[in-house]
Amino acid sequence: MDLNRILGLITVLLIGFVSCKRDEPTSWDIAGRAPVARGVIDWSDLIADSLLEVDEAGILHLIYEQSLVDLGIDTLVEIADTTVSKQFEPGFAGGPIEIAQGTSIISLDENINLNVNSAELREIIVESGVLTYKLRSYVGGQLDVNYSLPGVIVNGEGLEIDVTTESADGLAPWEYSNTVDLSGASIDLQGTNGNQFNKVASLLSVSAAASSLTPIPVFGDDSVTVELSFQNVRIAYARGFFGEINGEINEAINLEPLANIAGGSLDLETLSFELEIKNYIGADAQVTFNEISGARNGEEVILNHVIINNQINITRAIDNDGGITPNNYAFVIDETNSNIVELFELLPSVLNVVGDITLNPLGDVSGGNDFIYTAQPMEAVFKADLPLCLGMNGVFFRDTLALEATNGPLVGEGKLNVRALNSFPMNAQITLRFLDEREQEISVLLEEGNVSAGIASGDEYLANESNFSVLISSEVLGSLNAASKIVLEVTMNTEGEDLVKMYGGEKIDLLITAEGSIQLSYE
Amino acid sequence: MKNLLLLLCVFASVSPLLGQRLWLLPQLSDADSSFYQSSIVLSINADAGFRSNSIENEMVDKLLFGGYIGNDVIQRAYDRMAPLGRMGAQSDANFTFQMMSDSLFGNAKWGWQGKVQSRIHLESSFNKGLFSAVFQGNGGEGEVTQNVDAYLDFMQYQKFGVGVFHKPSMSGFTFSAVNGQQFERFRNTESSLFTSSESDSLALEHNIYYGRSDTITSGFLSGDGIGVSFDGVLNVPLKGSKGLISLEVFDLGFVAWNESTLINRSKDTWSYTGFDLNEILDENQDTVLPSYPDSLDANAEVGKEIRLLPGRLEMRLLHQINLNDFFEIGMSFRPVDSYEPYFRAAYFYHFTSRTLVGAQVATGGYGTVRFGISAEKWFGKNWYVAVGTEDVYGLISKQGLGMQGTLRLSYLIQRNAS
Repeated sequence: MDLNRILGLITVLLIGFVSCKRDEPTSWDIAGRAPVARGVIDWSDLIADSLLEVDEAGILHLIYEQSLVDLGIDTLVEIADTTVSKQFEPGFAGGPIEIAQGTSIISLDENINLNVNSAELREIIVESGVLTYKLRSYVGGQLDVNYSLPGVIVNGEGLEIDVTTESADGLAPWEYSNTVDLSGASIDLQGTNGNQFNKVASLLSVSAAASSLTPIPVFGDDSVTVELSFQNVRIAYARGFFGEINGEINEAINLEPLANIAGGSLDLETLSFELEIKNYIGADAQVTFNEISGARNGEEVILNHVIINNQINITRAIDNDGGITPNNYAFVIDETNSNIVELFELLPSVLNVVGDITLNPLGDVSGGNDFIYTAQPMEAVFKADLPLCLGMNGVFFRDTLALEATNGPLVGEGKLNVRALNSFPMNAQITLRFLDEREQEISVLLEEGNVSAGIASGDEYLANESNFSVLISSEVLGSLNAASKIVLEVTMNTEGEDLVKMYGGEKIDLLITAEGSIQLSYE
Repeated sequence: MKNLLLLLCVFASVSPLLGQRLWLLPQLSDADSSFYQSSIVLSINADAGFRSNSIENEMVDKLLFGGYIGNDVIQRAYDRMAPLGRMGAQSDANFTFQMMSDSLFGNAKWGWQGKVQSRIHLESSFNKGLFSAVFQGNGGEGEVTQNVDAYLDFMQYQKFGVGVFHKPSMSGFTFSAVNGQQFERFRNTESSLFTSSESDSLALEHNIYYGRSDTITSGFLSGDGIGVSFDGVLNVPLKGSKGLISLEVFDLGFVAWNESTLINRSKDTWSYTGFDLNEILDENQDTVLPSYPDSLDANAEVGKEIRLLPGRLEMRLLHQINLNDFFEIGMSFRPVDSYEPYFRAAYFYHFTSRTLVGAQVATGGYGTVRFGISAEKWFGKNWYVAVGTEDVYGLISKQGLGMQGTLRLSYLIQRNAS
């Protein structure tokens, strides 16, 4: 210990152990052991409980239901923002004419055209939206203005704007504006004569204000302007003729229960795939599925079934004062009438659906009484019932977990001890890899650790214990500092040719511990 | 050399907790010497060092300055600490004055004295289990339970004191106002770290107290606390002027730390069984592995806190052997686990009237047996220098169990010739 160190130490103590000048971190080796991870993994960890059912024979089923095609109100009916400005004049030239209090100046009715797409609507119920209106009077005196929209029923009453204007100030008009919330409002779109479509009837009445102290001087070029703006109108219900619509079906449906599977295939015995078309719309339709296929990693299996390329005629639903009687069409697709088993043995991540749909193929046969409720569209739904009696051929799960950065380089070496009590009837090989930020592999922590399949015993499987250790070299541990992700890969295979039945009680009890020498340090 | 041993008394200002006694030579002078004839004695004293019963200098050096601590160093430390590891460190720098020529309220035997002192005090005790857990780990086979009790007390403060002293016996006392600069105290009792035989669970049972002073203000004279302190020495001459018995008390007092003092208490058992794989599987892809907090949950309180100063009591006997040599035996005591009763025996030889050398052996305190040396010398009429260490081996060896040095520099302001 040289003199400089001695003096340095004394100095440090004198100034209170602060401002230490450190040439390098303090470090030492310890021999440690600790649990790393544990858990009991059963079916509910792999597939949502709501998708699992056990049948009477005790076999576990995966039951998955999802919409293939959705023909909703947004497709059929849309009202764009509509702004209408009406200017009303007294109908004479020159002036001024002194109009006595209470005397009518303007009285007329008019239609307001709503900016609707191709549909011819007679009635709507608004889910949300607002009506903004603005009144301008260029008359040099008070007026009683009544502007009513009798077909716009808000809170059970027709919308009515009742205002007494003030005198215009020279060329500057008197103005008044307000906004009405249309949520829940019903709107009659049959216009002033009751047999039109997409039109809102309006009535305007302007008279010299009864409360004015003097007669009102009115010039021929004076006017009253009403500006209406329907904004962000979304429809809860619509009635009318939606038009003859031809559309294409081109959907790619992600199959969520199979999303984590990265590869491999199944051997299946049976599979039920029920396709149901539910029509809650008051309009006829024709649907043709040109192709339904399952795909994974570039591989594809196209469904062979009688519904493919055959037109399906769909009759309109019936509206019983809000209670809808739909027309449903169901098609059972299984191993007896299709290649659906082959399609699902591929473990498809995506179902592709291609087809055509025509609405009102025969025109306006309802006399303008097509209807649709937002909450009840026309949809094609599939329900897949997959009995988990299967064989697995390299079914490959892959999951990526982000890693927190370590505080410094890890120095040491040791081993991971893995104990697995597996009652799933398939063998598994587990691999863990470290990736850097660019997703490049920088080291392999565990290479194909083998977990043996559970042992069949009647209607259950007994847990089979597998133990293995993984040596962690100093290089692997050191690479953890540069790792930003860890990838878990599990490959599963059933033994032999026979299919194995899953009963729902299968699980794997996993315990991972670590032991070894590691260098601790601080700066 | 009349009444020499009667004058072998020590100022309260120089009493290193860890180190060698100094300031003997001036008092070996006779009553006509420049020391007793001076007007004012001004002194600067510095003492710094650390000591342990188990931790070698090399390990302390690397803990402070960095470097790799080898397993052999750790194993030797572990083997020594039976049953408790102890460690202490301090630095003490002070300036003192004593009015030799003035009288106190008309009494010429008494005079004024004063002191400005800055002190850093650190002491720690820990059982083998904690040392092993930190520096050796929990490896091995089977079930392991490591007791991890520990105590650490750190305090930094300044004292501003005035007092009186009795010139013939050099007995006296000083009352000081204390500025508390900083304190930290950690105590973990009834605690253990349990590792199961399959290594599938760790459990830390703990009863932790952790307190620290306000961190918003810091540094020298920060004023995070105020207090008072008493230092005193009573020298009783032996019959026949053969020596004296001395009883001394240091830093008897307290600091009231301000309302921003933080106190954490936690009594719980914290267990860890690894990441829950189910939690990970419940998440979507790209989930982040669960992380665990750096600290244990604790009940935190903020408020005033009163802490005693790290005081101690000391007794000693000085006795003449021959005209030119004498011996000293002494002991000191602090009521904490980390400080065992301290015993010291020293021999001093007077080469000339202006040079004194000494050697001592000590044991206890924060450490084990150690050997020290000292030297004191007058330079001219006014200057006095004394240096010493209580552990020669510690200064030269990495395997020493402490390191310490003491320095005193005094200047005598002489009385006017008139």
